[in-house]
Amino acid sequence: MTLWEDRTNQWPKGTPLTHALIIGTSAYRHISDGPEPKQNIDFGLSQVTTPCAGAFAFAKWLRDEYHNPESPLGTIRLLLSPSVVETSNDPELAAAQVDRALTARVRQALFEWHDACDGNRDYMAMLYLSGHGVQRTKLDGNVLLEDFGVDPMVVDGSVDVFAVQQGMAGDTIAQRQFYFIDACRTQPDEFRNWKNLGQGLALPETFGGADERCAPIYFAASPDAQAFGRPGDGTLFAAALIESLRKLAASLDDDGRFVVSSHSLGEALEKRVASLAAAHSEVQSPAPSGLMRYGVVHVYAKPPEVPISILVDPAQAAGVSRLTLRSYASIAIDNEPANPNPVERTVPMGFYTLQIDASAPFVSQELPFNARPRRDGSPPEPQRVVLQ
Amino acid sequence: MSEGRIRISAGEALPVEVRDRNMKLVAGGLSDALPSIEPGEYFVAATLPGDETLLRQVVVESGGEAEVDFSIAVERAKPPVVHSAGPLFDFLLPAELPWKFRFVTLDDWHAIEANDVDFELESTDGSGTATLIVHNRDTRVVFAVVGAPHSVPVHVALPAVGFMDSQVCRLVITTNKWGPVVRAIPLSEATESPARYFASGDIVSAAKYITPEYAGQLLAGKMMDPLAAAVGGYVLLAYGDLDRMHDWPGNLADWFGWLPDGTAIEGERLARLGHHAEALDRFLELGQRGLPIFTDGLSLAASRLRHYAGSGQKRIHAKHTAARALAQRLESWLVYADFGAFTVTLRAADLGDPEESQVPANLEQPGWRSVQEG
Repeated sequence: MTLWEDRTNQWPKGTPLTHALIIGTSAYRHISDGPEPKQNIDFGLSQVTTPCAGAFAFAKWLRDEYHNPESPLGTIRLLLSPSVVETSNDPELAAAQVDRALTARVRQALFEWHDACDGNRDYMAMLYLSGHGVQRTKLDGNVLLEDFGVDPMVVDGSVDVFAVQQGMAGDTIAQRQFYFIDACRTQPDEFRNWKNLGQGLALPETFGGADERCAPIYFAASPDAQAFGRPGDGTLFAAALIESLRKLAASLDDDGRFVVSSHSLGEALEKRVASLAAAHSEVQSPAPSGLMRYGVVHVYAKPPEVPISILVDPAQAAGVSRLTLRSYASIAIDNEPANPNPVERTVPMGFYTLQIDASAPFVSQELPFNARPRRDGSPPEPQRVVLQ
Repeated sequence: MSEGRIRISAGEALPVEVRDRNMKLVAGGLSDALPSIEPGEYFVAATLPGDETLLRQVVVESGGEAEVDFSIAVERAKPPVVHSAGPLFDFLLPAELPWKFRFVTLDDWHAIEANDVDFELESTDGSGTATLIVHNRDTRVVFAVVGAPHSVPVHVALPAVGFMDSQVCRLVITTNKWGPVVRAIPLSEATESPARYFASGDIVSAAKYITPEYAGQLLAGKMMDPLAAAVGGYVLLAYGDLDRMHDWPGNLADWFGWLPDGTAIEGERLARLGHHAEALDRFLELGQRGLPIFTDGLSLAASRLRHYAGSGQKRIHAKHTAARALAQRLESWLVYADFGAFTVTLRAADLGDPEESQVPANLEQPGWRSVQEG
């Protein structure tokens, strides 16, 4: 069953909905270490243990946490070919009743997803693909499916990302589309020579007009999926994506709402993936590309909670000062004593006024304070307030 | 009640937002071009390249001008620079730098030496990062080649060309386990700020610099700076604002035949408008013009050409062999390209043949220069 979540009947007819297609492949049947190896070119690939867990984590975030009043969740189509390590780690993944990521089923799912997204420009489309892959440019790449290599036209067992994105252009289709491509950037010799090894799955391209979609493609651009994920626990890209959607990519829209936009998500993904990779002494540079027009991905029902740190300087001043942090809506810190160490709290994101009431000989101060997440997920630098 | 203004001092134009007490956006744009607004209490937020914001509160009175001074914070946020004045040279002496340099250009897709380029060390810091200033007087697209012992050299396209206003750019060099990591940064006044935001992934802030007048000014008269116009073109393509591009990408392509990026930008603009046959013609011009300077140009051209090579559209199909051949040619560079770099950057010993030159270079051979010989 490909349709893993279907809420279309929960909304009045005509409601612009979000339709997602999520495909994760960790188990490769026909490569040399697979259960049914063939003698075809397999680019020297081996089984992996992270792409499916990442895809499933994103599906669960979408099902459980996604919030967008302009385009609530309609459907999630999910196809997974997990590894044993992943199903052992996650009973919910093991129990998921979904189709495997086989070429014929993915092809059908692509058509169904396209049709679901057609008919209303206010629909929103999401495509998440993970597995082995090849990324040729910042814009395009192929993600390999479970039956990759079943016959000599091996690339037939893949999805051609750019061709799918081009096929999703049109006057009547969702104009906000988000593509998450969590695939390693391998560059096999066979691809370098660009021999005819088949073509990845695509959508028919019938539109010839001006393409004004918001349709960014967020590539993980990982040179080696094995090295850049935690086995059984998902990829760094998936982890960074979910952290970004939960908090790190939060931004303000023109109306003052807290949202994740196509732009803030690109910024956060670049920085968070890089910082997660650096923590493993590795380098990974995600490459947001595609049609990066402004679009809102996710709307926070309430401001996300973010860590803050305030340091009153010098230490003698901290000993005789009290802090108040207030916005027009609330008081986050209410006349609490400062101390020589940074005052650390978690407060709703937003603009505040920080008031430091100091006793003589120090002079009280009032200054604006921006409580916001750091895109790379690092702890906040203490905001240092020097009292005279 | 008449409106008031906010005057922002920052030392340079900064992307800013003015929001009311409910955080609704009241005005936005560059700090030196904010519109007048209703009297009231506002937050003024500025974004710096990277991940830092500045925030001030102001009260705008009827007919008045509220002042905001970001200049000290902006100056403080700039990366520290230790200038190379002998004793102040804290961390690495020029002789201790592990890298050697040469400069090449592509002539009919073969790498040849570019001799009219020199460079000087600007600074180093404690983390092993070195910054060089490069002067390119050559009138072709030039790549700096950074070689280190036992690693494949890095080629990086210079965002500086001889016969335009900006002949100077900056190279920032660090090292990771694969060898030198090199980034090229434009230094012209018109390019530097949008390029810094664009390279850091902040497309929104970068796009604030590309006003409707911007590119037109850059292509005309004394302000002629086609590289800055190319940066503006890529920013607007990434931002998805084709309306703001008007027809100047076509002029950029037609007037500056030495600049491959003009054709890449115009080709992509035409493709987005659905004019695929005309777009293909533009991309095919790269066969004569060579590699774009900017990574986005190479990426856009290769993607579109590969796509057109397999297209069944009648007008495109007639040229699909040419599209395929050029796509294959560009792909041989893309395979080794660093997509995270702003200008085309790849590891190879021979720019003309990356595939057959994934080997360290012999740095003792003629042509390689140390910093002292820059």
